[in-house]
Amino acid sequence: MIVRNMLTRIFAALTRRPPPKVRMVATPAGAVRRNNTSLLQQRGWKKRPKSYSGPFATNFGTWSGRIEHAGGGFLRVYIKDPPMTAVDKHPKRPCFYRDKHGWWRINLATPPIDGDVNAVIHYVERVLTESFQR
Amino acid sequence: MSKANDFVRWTTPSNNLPIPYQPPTIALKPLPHPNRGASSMLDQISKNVAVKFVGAARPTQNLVLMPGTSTRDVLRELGLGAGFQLGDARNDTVFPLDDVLFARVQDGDLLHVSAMVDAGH
Repeated sequence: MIVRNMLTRIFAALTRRPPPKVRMVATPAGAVRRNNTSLLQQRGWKKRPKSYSGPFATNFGTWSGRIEHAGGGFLRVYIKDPPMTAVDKHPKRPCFYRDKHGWWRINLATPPIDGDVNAVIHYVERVLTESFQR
Repeated sequence: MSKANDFVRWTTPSNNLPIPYQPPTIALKPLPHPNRGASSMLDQISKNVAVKFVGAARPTQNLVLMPGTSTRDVLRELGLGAGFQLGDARNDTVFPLDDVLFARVQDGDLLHVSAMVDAGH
C-alpha cells in the first residue's frame, strides 16, 4: 500500500504540467471594441485581379505602392519615388531596385507564409519608418 | 438520583443562571489558493496585453502574460507557429522568438502579429 502511494505520487509529480504562462481572456463586458479592419482597408488599397495598389503610409510621409502576385506564393513589391536619401541609411537598401518611371522594386527574400498582403504593407512601412529614424 | 439529573448538574453552573452567548474572538477564514482567484500573487504580477492581427479578420485578442513568457509562448497560444512574428504597435519593433516578452512589454500594451516578411537579395 505504501509503495503504491509512493509510486502514485512520483507519477503525479512527473506528469504534472507547469502552469500556463499565457492565457487568453475575454474582452470585459461593455468595453469599446477595437478596430479590426485590415491595413488594406485602413489605407484604402484597391484590389485588382492579380495585384493590389495603394499607399504606404508612415508618420514621415506617404508613397504609392503596388503589390503583384508573381506565382508560387511570391509577391513583387513596388514603391513610387521612395525617399532614397533616408533609405540609403537602412541595411535593407540593397533590396531596393530601380524600375521604370520612378518605380522601385523591393525584393522579398521571405514572403508571408500565408500570402497575406497586409503583412507586406506593414513590413514596407516599418522599413520606411526605420529609415527616417536612423 | 437519575442519570439525567447528573447531566444537568454537570452542564449548568452552580448559580443556575443561563450562560450568555459570546461570539468567537477569532474568525477562521480559508486562505486563497496561490494559483487561483483575482487576488492571487500571480495575478498581481501578471501583465495584460492585447494582440491585434494585422492581416486577418480575427478580432483583437486579450492575453494575460505571466513572468517568463516568451514570444514563442504567445504565438503558440494564439495557434500560430513558425512564419509569424510579434511586434510592438508603438514603435514597430519586432520581438525575437526566444525573447522574454514579459520583460519587454508593459501592462496594457498593444502588440501586432503578422506573417513574417523580410527583404533580401
